[in-house]
Amino acid sequence: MSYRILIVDDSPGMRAVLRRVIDLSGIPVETCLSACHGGAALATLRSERVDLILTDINMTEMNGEELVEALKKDAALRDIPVLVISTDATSNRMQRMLELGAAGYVIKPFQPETLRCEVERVLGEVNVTG
Amino acid sequence: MSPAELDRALTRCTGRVLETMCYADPLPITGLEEGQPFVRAELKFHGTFEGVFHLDVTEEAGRGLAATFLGADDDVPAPQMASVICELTNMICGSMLSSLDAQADIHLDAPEVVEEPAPHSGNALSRAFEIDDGQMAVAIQFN
Repeated sequence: MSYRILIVDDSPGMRAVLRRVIDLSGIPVETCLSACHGGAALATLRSERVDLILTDINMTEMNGEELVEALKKDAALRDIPVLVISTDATSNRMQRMLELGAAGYVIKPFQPETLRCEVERVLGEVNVTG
Repeated sequence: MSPAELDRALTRCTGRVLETMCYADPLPITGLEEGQPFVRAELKFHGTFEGVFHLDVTEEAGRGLAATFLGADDDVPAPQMASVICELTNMICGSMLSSLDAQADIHLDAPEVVEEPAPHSGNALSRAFEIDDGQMAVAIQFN
């Protein structure tokens, strides 16, 4: 199975790094889409099937927290797993994102191996439940 | 938190971000040499902590950090370098504030490259480093 992944981050540099880590990870990826904020991500999701969303938190227009909330309220999108990737390492923030329904949380800066393991874990859960 | 603890947090978080994302080994120095072209990024933060964070890096060193960050073989164009410097600013500031209080409520504005950062007042904390191809400095000021 090849996966379709959506990267949501307002930093072009960070989007490029995430894509590169995924490309080099060995995880079979059919398509890697990107969006610069939550609103753009929701627009993409209206026309594209996606198996996993990687999202930052601090973004303009719609941040990562608002994006996860919007996804969970949408019956067509609520089952897409979301992996949060953020510099915010506070327990309050991590707990809030997981309570909202995020499937995982990776703290920046991260080792490529850490991200790869988390992506594989979340996609593994998708395969088990899907 | 004492100034010494803040200083250690700033140095530790800068080192961790540069080592992890750019494979750089920053060596503390007393200050930046004058007369070099710099790229400057600024980030304002709110919530439990209020203030502003700055990162200054010499252009040559900034290009080197950006190339390593992106895994690029070729010279990185200026807009991409600016994006990477902004992301490093975001990571260092976010890491530092998170390390100061694990229960904090942290909100970071989008970092941006600025021509001239607003002058710091007396309570700013800054650190300068030697890195491959040049120098950089980080500074944090709480309101």
